[in-house]
Amino acid sequence: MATQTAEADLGQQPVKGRSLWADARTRFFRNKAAVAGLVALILICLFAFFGEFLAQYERAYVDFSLMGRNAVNGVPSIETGHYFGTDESGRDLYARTVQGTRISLLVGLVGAGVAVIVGTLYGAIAGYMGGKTDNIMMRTVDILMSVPYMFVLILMLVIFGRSITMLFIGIGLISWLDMSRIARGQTLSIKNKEFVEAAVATGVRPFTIILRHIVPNLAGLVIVYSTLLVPQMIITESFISFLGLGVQEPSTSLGALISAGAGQMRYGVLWQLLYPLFFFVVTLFAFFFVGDGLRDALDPKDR
Amino acid sequence: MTDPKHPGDPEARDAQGRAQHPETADPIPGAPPASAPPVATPPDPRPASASPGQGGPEDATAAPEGIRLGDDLGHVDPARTQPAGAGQPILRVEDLKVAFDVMPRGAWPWTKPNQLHAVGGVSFDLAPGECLGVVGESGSGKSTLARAIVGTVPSTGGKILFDGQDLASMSPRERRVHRRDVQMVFQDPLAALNPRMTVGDIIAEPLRTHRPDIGRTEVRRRVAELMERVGLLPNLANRYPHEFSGGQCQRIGIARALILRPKLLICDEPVSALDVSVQAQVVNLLKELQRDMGISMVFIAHDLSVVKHISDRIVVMYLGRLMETAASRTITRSPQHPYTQALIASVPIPDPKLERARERPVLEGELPSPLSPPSGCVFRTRCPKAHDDCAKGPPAVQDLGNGHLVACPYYKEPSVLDRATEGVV
Repeated sequence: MATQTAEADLGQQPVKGRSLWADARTRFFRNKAAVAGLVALILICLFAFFGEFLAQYERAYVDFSLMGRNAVNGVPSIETGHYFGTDESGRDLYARTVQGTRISLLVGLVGAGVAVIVGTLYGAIAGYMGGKTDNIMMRTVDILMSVPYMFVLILMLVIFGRSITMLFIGIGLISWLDMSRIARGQTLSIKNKEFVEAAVATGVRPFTIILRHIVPNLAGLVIVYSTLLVPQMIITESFISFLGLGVQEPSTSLGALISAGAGQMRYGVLWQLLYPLFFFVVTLFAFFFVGDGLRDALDPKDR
Repeated sequence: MTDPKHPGDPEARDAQGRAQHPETADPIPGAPPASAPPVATPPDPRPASASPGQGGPEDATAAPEGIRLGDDLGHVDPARTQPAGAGQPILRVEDLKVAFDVMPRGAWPWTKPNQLHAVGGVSFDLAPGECLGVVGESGSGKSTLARAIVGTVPSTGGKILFDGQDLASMSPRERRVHRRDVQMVFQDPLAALNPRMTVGDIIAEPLRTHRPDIGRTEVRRRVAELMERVGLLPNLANRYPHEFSGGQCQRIGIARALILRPKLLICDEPVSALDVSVQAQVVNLLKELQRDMGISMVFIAHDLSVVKHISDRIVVMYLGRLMETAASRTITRSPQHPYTQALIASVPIPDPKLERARERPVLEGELPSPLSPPSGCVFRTRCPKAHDDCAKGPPAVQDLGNGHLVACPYYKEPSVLDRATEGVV
């Protein structure tokens, strides 16, 4: 009788299930490189968004006494408050690196965000609907992909003027194309699974099926791809900025700072190149490590 | 429907006992227990409501396999088993055809696709509360037939009359309303459950789709009730499919199919992916639920011994056509069509001595491609009784009385297959 009550008690307590997400989280946190990447990423985000409060100078403030003499007087030092030194115009490099990192991260996140939302839905709809719809939607993607996007981006920045908004629009326009192809491919294999058929047989509406059954099963792939997409976007932006077409002064980005630093290399102001480069490289590495960790954690085949 | 076989039926017992299935009488230890007392006696809108005395602990322990009878799901709605027009079939399939377009390898987009005739003109009736078994080897169109009835594959000809309405000619929007009455249980238990959803959400999905008016607590209560009914602990509702075994996953699939109380349940090889010991449990569960809830059922399997255990009537399919239709006892005792005889000859006898001594006539050759089925009778290429005129037209269906139909005009001729049933039955 006692066992029966115990069993009955057991029957009353709802058991918390371990979702695939919870499993993946455990696996992710077991991966040391990935966790290190995540920690680095968090620190860089803190630096980018709160580093400003530590800066002793406005990022646009030009110290005329240092202008042209930064190799001697603009050396990185705690005492002067120029932690990372100054650039050739006598501006505080610390404040500018903080801002550059922030812009680069934002560009990366916005690009990846557009890719995730637009690309995933577009690909899932094309893949699930199939037939003519699929054909029209994917041929559109093919056409957009065949346009040399760097050329179009540069033209856009020249015609509509250089601004962050324009950069976001330009990068957002191209970033979702790859994602939509990947999402479509995965959807094609998911839609033939029996649980989708069960939903169809039950009478669930197509759009609900896409949102409830297809997209959650795409999520693993999409998350992995988007963490690898962020650094790609950052590189694209840096390239544009390096060409001198990206963010407009007095705003800056890591690419623009590296470009300026590379230009000043010969004058003994190597810190002007190294500080932005350090943040650039660390950000990219952190994203790649996190992406790798996520892929290992979310892909059940590599267990 | 006359008298369906129940677990108590001597024939069914015989089949079970001979196959050395350890269940039916004793549940296998370790089967998911559901012996907890009922959560609550739910208020039932229907007159045939559960009386408070039922479903008590004694009931629970007495019920076989830990399935508790007597809650409101267990009651048969009289209106459901005996509809107004008694004798009228709940499902009538008339000359159903399903063909798929297959693009030849390396074809241009504008070349005309080849037609793969998966189901080529199948007709049968299903009485309310009846269980129809469908057997045939792989590639005979059984699953396509099921999918056409459920509506996940479009039919290309014929009619599917459900309650007198033709499902095949309905628009997707109209048909969606009827989907609540026809539910399906799938072959691969784990693949049929969304890995990202909890079991409770999976079972509740049909309810959320067709009855958005039902509140969350009520949905949860019904899910718990049904989980208990199919032999799962209701407190596992927050778990995910990968945390369950194959048999448990199939129980989840069955619960999802039953939550809307469908009139027709299509089971597409529900046990072929399961362990033999679990197979028997699931078949018994389906049989019991079918009897208690008065559901009509189409049960598909390639294993004749499973089908004959659960079905009242059996249809035998080959290459998308019906070969023979008869009561399940008739099919197993005196099969008339040469293909049915060959199928029965392939059922192993669980007695090594008998099995070794047995002369087993085996069918020669392979299943022909459904892309270009043989003319006339599709079975003629492998039939030991084949005549020249078998190639001319579809074989005339012979009515042997009592609903026994054989699609072979030469069924009376003797052949090597006549000894096929020796020792099997």
